[in-house]
Formats: sequence, structure tokens, C-alpha cells
Amino acid sequence: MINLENITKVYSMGSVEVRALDDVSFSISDGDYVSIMGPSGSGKSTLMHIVGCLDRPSSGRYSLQGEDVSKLDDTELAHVRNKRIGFVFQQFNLLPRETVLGNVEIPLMYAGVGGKERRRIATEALARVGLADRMHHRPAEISGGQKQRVAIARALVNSPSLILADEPTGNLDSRTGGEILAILDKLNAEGCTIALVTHDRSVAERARRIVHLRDGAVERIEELDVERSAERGPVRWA
Amino acid sequence: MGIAETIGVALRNLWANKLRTALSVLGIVIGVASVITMISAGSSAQKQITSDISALGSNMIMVTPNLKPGAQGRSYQHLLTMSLADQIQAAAPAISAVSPVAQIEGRIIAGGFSAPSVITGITPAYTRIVNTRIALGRSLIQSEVDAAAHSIVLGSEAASDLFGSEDPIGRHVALVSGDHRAVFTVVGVTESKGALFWANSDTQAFIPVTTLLYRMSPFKRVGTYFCQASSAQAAEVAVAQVERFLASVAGTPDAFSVASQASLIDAIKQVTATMTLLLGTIAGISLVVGGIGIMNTLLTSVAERTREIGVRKSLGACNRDILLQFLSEALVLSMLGGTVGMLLGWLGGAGIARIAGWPISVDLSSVVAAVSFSTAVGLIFGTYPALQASRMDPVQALRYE
Repeated sequence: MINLENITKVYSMGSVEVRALDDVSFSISDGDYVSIMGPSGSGKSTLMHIVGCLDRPSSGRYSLQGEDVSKLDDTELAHVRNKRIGFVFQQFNLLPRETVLGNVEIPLMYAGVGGKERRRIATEALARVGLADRMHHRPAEISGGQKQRVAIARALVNSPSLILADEPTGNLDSRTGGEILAILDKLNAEGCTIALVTHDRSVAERARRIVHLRDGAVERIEELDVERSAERGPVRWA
Repeated sequence: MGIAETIGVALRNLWANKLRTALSVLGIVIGVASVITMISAGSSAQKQITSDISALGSNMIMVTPNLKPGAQGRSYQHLLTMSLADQIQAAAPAISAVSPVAQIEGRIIAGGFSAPSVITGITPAYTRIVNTRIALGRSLIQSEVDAAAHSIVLGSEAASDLFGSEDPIGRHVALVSGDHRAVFTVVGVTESKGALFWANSDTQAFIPVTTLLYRMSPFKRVGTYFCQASSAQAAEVAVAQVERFLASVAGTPDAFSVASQASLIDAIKQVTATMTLLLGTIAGISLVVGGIGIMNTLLTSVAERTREIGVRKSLGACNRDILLQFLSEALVLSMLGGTVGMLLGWLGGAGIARIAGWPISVDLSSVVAAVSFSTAVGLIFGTYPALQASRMDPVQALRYE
């Protein structure tokens, strides 16, 4: 259960204060699939950074599975990101010098998992996204869709409480983007909690609910027709 | 993250920028190599000088007159008489031999050839004190000193300059010094000893000190007493005995300098140690410059990898992980440089010693010092970039293009 209560984020740029988030409250229950939507400048990124524990709110309470994480120090936040959050970025953000397997092993490395165990878990995660045969390639040697699947595998390895996807299809063509969304659907069906940040309505509609942001505040929370999930169709691997 | 993994990541990153890595390692290599080269060259030179001093003579003690205070450059040389030499021997039981020595500049002329030379007036004891060996003929004998005979022993080089391959024994040479001129008979030629410091005994000529004082010089006083302590252990006692006796003769302890070979060696050792320290320090500066090179490389690397740092932080790297990662890169660079530099420094030190003809001497302590110093340089100059990397805000770092 993820719970945001009255989250406010204020940036001071010189003498001017910018209110990037203003009294944002909503919650994501375990196994949920939530989209966060809004035009640019609506505070999507700021909200994602706070939900992803990359940043702290100026005020308000953010509890992640019952623990208030809004007041943690840098090291504690790093541990939360490592264990409980799985990031999927628009830019994939794979490390070019590491192999696919090496990239997936990184969160495990920071979690202190030993070499053999690390390799086993990373291999399993890669198999889950259908990339078992690309383990020893470098990121430059695989396609955009494959890179994003590696990123998803990397997000999965520490069994996080939340997968946080920031425009995961933004750099992909619609067909490949569809494949990535299908993987997220499948992971959600397997019990993963997913928050997806996007400005694209058709992408946002894959979720159960859409949190609409405007000018740093929650405009409305849209409950989507549960039936829609049946229309997603079966998951196919490219 | 474990140490092995941190170092593994560091190695991969360094390997990915081979040229940059090589260049920044080169800075440290040059620094460490020059430190070790300088220190080992210094210690080689010290060994050489020490052995040179030992070659000057055995258990030698030199007595030289000091300047008289307020006497317009006049010294206590007037006290250095021939008979005082005998009195020293009698008064200092730890002294086994004394030779009064006087020197003048002059020329040796023989059969149309002429060679500039330092003419040294000696007694037979001198040959023993300074370890001179005779190659041809014989050395001077006491009766020649007593009689102020016109006998001469030529240095090996002086002999070959004047007589070439001919046998000089029994030949006549003329000595000219200022207004003085006399003819001598060659009785012996010394073995070559090579130049030692200020003097090259091979170009000198040796005559009885009495002959020099009475026939060749306006001064009727000797310049120096060369004494020999009865053993190396007795040198210190001998110096004290000679000093005490001469102080009683002159009425002041400041009239003469009495220096043993051992004290000369100690003094030279101090000088070379200071020189070595100076050279090592100058070389150490290049090591610091190498450190700045490492810092520059790391700062570039941190800036380039801002996004990577953001990604790593988003995946759970805490500040300490990032700090250690960059610090280990700095350490790998500096220790690599230290190791290669150590080997080059070894070669450099051995090379210089070989060219200069010194004994090769590589001090293990200089190697330990250079390598640990280079590691310290890596730590010191790596800390700032590593701290900068570790303190990056993950949000800013992830946005970095």
C-alpha cells in the first residue's frame, strides 16, 4: 500500500518560489496499476521523483507499505530505492559498458547479493522479459524495445513494492511500445504494483485508474472500466 | 557493494578510456620513477664517494692549520715544522705514523717535454698512509729525506707524459716552480690511482719534503700533516690526542683542524643525504603534478558519467558506493602508476649509476616510500572528485544529457 497525503513540493528559484506539487493525495494499493497523467508542467516528473524516493517532499506524508519515507536521509532513501522501487525510464538508462546481464545485476550488487545468486536472479528476470538469449550483449547491440525489456528486468530483480515507469514507451515506435505495455500488463497480472507516468492517454488507459495532474494538483482520479483489461489481449513476445 | 565488485567496475571504466587512463597513469609513473631514480642515484653517489674517501688512505687523520683571527689572512702554518711531526708521533700513542706534507705548483721538464704538475713533498710514511703503490722502481726512503736528496717519484700519468713508453728510472728531470729550479733523478713511478676529488695523484710528482722546503719553496713550513691512526677503532682517540697536544703547542685549541677520514665520510654522507633529499623532493613535485593529472581525469570522468551516477543512485547506490567507486578508480590509477614507475625508477637509478660508474644501489625504503606516496597521492587527489560524484542529486544527475 502506497499512500501520499498532502504532498507539497516547493522549489525556490532565487527569490521566487515555485510550487511544483500542491497538496497531492492519493493511494495505490498492492497489485494496483495506476497511471499518472498530465500535460507538461503539471508536476508529473516531480511527483514521480517523490514516489520514486529520488527526492523528498517539502511537506506531507508519503508512506510506503506503512513506513513514512518522506523524512529519510540520503542513505536510507537509497536503500528504499534499491529494495522497494523498480525504475523504468523513457531513456532506458542502461549502462553502456556493462552487458545486459551486468545491467540487470546492478540493483542486486547494491543490495549485497553474492555473485552466483545475483547471476541466477538476473538470468531469471531476463527470462521473464524474454531476453534470456541476449544476456551477454552490450546495450548498443540490441534494439530499443529490447533495451526497455532489459530495464524492466532490472527493475524487477529486487522484487520491489512498486514498479515506477516514466514514459516507458516514449522512445519506442507504437508496435514496440505495445509490446512493452503488454509486459507491464503481464507483470501486473502476476501481482506487481505499477505506477506509470505518461502524457499519452492511450498509454495511460492500460491502468486501472488514472491520476490526472494539473498545475501541481490532482485534478481528478479516473476509474477505468475494468472490462478494458480484457481487451488488452494476450501477451506476445517479439 | 563489495570491494571486489567496486574494483571490477573501476577497472572496466578505466579500460573503456584506455588513452585517458594511460596518460594519467603516465603522470604518476614519471613522478614515482623520478623519485626512485633520484634517491637511488643519490645513494649510489654516496657509496662511490664513501669508497673514494676510503681509497684516500687508511685510518688517515689530516692536520691543517687554521687562519689566525685578526691576522690578515695569516695562519698558524708557521707552527707546522718538520720537528713538530716527530713530536706529534711521540705525544699521541694512537698515531702510528706521521708524514709532513707540503705542496707547490710547478712544471716537470724532461727531454724537451714539459708537464704541469703538483709537486708534493713527503716522507716515506706518506706512501703507507695514502696507500700509494709503486709500479716501477721504488718509493722515497728516509735517508733521502734526511739528506734532502734530489730524488723524485713520478705519478703514472706524469711519467707517461714525459717519457712515453720509455723506462724513466734513473733519468733526470728538472722541476720548475716560480724562481726555483732543480734537477732530480727519477727513482720510481706510482701505480695509477685515478682522480679522487680535488687531486689526481697520477699527475703529481713526489720528492722528499725536506728537498721541497729547502730548494723549491720560499716557505719553510709544511702545509699539512698526514697521520695514521693505529687502527680504525683508534681513530677517534688519536684525533683527541693530536688535538690536545697541538692545543698545548699553539696555546689555543683553534689553531689546527684535525679531521679523521671517518669524520670526513660522515660529513660527506650528510651532504649527499641532503642532496638526495633535495633531488627527491624536486622529483616528488612531479609526483604531485601526476596527482593533479589523476584529479583532472577523475573530474572529467565524473562529469561525463553524471547520468550513470544518477542511474546507479536510482538503482540503490548510496553516496558511499559512488564515493568508493571513484576512489577506487583513483587508487587503481595511482597504484598502477606507482608500480610501473617503480620499475622504471629502478632502471633509471641503475642506468645513472652505470653511466657514472657508481655502484648500483636501489634502496628498498625508497621504493616503499614512492609507492606508498603515490597511493597517498591517489587518495588525496581522488577524494575531491569522488566526493563530488557521491554528493550528486540523483534527480539532477538523471536529467543530465
